[in-house]
Amino acid sequence: MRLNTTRSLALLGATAALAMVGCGSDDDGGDEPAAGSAAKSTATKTAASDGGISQATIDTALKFTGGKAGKAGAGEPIVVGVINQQGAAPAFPEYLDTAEATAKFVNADLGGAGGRELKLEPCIVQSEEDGQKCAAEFLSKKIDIAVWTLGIAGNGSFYKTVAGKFPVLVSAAATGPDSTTDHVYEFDGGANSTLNAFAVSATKVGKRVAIVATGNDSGKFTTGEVLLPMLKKLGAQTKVAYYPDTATGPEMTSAVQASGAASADVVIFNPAAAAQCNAVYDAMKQLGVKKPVVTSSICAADEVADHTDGGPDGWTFASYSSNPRVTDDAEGQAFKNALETYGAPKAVNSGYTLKTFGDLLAITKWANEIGADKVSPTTYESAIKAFKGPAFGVPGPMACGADKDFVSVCGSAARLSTYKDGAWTSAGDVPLG
Amino acid sequence: MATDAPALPVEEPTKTPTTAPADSDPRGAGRRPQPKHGAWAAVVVLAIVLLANDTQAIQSLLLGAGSGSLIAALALGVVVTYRGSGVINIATGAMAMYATYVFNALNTEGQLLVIGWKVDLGAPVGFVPALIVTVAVAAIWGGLLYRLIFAPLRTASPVAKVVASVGLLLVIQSVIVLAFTATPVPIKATLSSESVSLPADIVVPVNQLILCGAVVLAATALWAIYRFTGFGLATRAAAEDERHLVLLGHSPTIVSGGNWVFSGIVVALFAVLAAPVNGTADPTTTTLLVVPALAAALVGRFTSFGVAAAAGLAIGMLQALIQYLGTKGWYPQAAGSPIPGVAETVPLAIILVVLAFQRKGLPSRGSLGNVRLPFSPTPKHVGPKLIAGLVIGIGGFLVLGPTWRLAEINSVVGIAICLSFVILIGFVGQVSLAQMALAGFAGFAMAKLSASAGIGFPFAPILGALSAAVVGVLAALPALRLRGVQLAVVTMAAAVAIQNLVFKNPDWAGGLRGATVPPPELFGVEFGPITATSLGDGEIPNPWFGIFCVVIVVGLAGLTSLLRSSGLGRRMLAVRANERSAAAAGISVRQTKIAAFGISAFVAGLAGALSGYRFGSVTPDYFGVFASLSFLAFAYMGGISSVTGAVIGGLLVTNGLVFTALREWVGLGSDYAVLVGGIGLVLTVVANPDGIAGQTRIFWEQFKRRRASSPPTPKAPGSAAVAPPSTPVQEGR
Repeated sequence: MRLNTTRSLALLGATAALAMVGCGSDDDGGDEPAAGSAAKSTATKTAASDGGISQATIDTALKFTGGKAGKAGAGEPIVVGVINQQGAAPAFPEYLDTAEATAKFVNADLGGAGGRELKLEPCIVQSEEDGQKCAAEFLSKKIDIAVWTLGIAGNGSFYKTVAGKFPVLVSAAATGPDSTTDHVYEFDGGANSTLNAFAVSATKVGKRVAIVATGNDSGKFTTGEVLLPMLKKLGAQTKVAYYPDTATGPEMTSAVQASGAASADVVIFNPAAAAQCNAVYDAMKQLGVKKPVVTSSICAADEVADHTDGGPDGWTFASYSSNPRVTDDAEGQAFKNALETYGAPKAVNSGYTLKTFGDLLAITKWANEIGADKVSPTTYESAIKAFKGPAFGVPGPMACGADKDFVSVCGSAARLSTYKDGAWTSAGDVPLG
Repeated sequence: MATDAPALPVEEPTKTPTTAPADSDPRGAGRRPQPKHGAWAAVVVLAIVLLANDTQAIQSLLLGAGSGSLIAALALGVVVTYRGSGVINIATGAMAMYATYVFNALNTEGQLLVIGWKVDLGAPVGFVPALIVTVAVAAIWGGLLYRLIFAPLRTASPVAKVVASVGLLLVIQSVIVLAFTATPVPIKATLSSESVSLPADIVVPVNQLILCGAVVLAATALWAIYRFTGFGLATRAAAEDERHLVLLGHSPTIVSGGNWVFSGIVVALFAVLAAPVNGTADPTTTTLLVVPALAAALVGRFTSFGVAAAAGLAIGMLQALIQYLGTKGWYPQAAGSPIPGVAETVPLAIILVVLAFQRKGLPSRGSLGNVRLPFSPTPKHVGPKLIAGLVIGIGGFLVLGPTWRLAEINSVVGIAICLSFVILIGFVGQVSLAQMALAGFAGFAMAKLSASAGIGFPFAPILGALSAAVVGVLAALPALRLRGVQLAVVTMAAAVAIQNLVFKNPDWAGGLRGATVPPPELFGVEFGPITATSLGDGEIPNPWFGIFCVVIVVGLAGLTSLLRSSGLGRRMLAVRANERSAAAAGISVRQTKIAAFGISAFVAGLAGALSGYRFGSVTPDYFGVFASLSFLAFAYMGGISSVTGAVIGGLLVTNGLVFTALREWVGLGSDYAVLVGGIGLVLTVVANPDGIAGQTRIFWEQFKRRRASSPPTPKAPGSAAVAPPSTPVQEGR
């Protein structure tokens, strides 16, 4: 019965992607975006139009997971622990919706995991105590592997209690422990890559960069310790204004003004929640600031698209993974079709849900490779460490533990997309090194 | 309602001997220094000179007036409620948030929100009709809330009203989360998307100007209403002393209820106006604005609309200016960014500055009936009870499974936190909302000592708790001048400042990995919660850690019982009952308060240390001000003035034993836990101010009397000689 506002104070701290951190890279981030790494597909030609799963979606998923199309076979299901934060503010129910839709997809169309049904064991967190509770439950139930979808409460206590007894995949890292804990794996480029993409994209526009950033712990750390040094190496002149996670509309307006956006060439906006994207969009409009904006895929959410009549024009979005709004991205479209088919359409354009989809497909893939009878925490961990990528919908190769500071981060690239003149398009990948 | 009632002075209330705090200002008002208007003027002139050359700074200030308007609007609602009923409504922000959802559902979806249910009206409703309906709904809710919750609490202690408003906040927020989820919903309505261009390229959005102007108008209108109308006169009489109102032939209940209706209208009006400015509605943002709004209302002494509104605007403008100054190269940095928490400290700074310059003490309020203080019994059979606690507690860790052991650990730590509230609020009547901040201070200090100096168990937790005690004594300084819920507001602002300024400072927070706490170890034997052991079922949590927690907390319970029975404990109760009488009896009110703050902070500090060991780390959000409110609520439900109450409160805490039982046996989902908890809290406060422990004791006494077949005697023996259950009005709200 903890006061839900207790967690709310932290809320929005869910800088989802940008909130955790990463430093320790010497790269200047100046590489050219890799052209069109998102594979072309015909998925959209058949997807969604008939209201069911398309063959292209199944083919795209099977290409990643292996196995055979069809329904899961008999036998003991493979149980995956899923931890999500919801029930009281802040809540991210769309991530659990995504996980459940993905399990249905795997069981109905991908032949299950190792031929068996993929069964989820959900556990909800709302507080630090819940993290321990979920860990104890999973340990008691002999879970082989778990997915921490998105949460900002209980992360540290969960990982400490699990203590490496089974591997944990993190879909949307939002706290320091998500990126810095042994036996925890983040199959994307982490905050370092996304911030690098911010810096590279922005400095292509101009050298005077205004930064509007969330002022939560992680947001300040990532901006101050990672983004600013990156921009400095790229020769940018910067001015940063932080805003509180619980900022009102007028406070966001003040932040835009304080950042010097009016006199900058480009604005980098590091949000914690989609509502802040709308506030910044409105503030720039009211203050007469017409500058390109580089931000994260949090600002590609449905509520932002609704508020801005389709999307914020001229904005560029950096993300861990594909943007499902980009219609020629095969994996993004497969994700969209699967979620629309299996009852989670509202989760499609909602932060980093594609990562949850990809994590569960990865668990399916490893079960197919290991064999259902041999699945265990140890074999899963071995498969994870041997996995070189690419992860589903995520750019770049994978090498877990390569970054000694951020041992959980396995990837090293971010994916860009843009919204311009009414169209969402891919803008390539930005490798970290 | 009579309109020819004589006007009573509001700004300089005449206090009856029974209502006047004993040492509202030990120096006496007449000997206080005069306001240093010259100093204020110098500061303002200096600020203008400094800002004159920086148009961006001026624009920051002007833009800050937008967010300041939101704070000011809520502050007006707080003042209306307080003037009318003496309740400082912590749920004011939540009520505004609810009104926003009502309006948006009408305006966007064509749905009328009835509590949490949406009634489809067929088509979206226009701005003005939606505004009218929203205001009407808010007015009805204002009246109902007073009638159902706060009218029955008219003679309850100030802390009971605070706790009831916390319960109300919980209920409103959970209703909205259940109806709309916690995801922000877009606001379709627009006030204006235009801007006004001023000289020097300064641009100000029109919608923020409208909001600011509306606040100024509202403050003026409220002043006029309360100054010149019969309703206002009656309210002022009630604010002075409800007995005056009765003498004038009015019903305090009706006047108070009317003010709640009025407050609902004011808050809803601004919620609707502010919604398009914010662009979205969510269950959190507006709800949390109550913290600076309370600070603004306190600056206005909970009576002056003009000062409260001005303070709200000033808080918003100063925070915006600090945000702008943070972009300057000279601004102090930490880990590459401006040092955190400066803007969040503005409300506390403004309160402290105003208190330093204020001539008059803060107003108190006389009520029609005697203020009912929770009964604080003299502990009996302490030894056997402690032994029983040890046996049951340790036994639980030996026989229970992992889920229940975790629940027991959570309850045991919760008992320690509740004990700190019992000492401070239950024994000495000081309503502090900084207890969790103090617990966190100890936790972070312990982590820092471990990481930086290699100091481990048992010295680190003891030093951590001692450091919390020092901070607790410092927190007592405002308490020498303030009391009741006014002290609660100051400590709330202080807790926010500590959380943002200290806990979120990278030097304390421990960087990316957080502030980690190594497991406790004694003579080379580690006994942390995840340390492997052969005791019990061998699974986590380690039963030895639970036993360690039980031993510590049973010890604290024993010491608290001893404190209650000691001379110091009796002096605390005397201070609680009536500071003036206590002083007349030769008790040093000042020393007693300082001792209470220090001891309770030490207990809270040990709880913070246990919490750090429990999770293996300390995090700022766990020790926030709303966590304090949450634990205060549990402590009050259990019984705020007894060790037994603290034990029951601990059993009730989040993820404690009762919570786990409801989840495991009744299937109460996490989605509904907050709602059920909030309703339970309100019901407990309204129906049973003594908490569960008090009610249980009453039942037990009645049972014993029946068994003895003796004639009924007045209840509540024990401490009645020092602090009877019903004592004369002794403190302001």
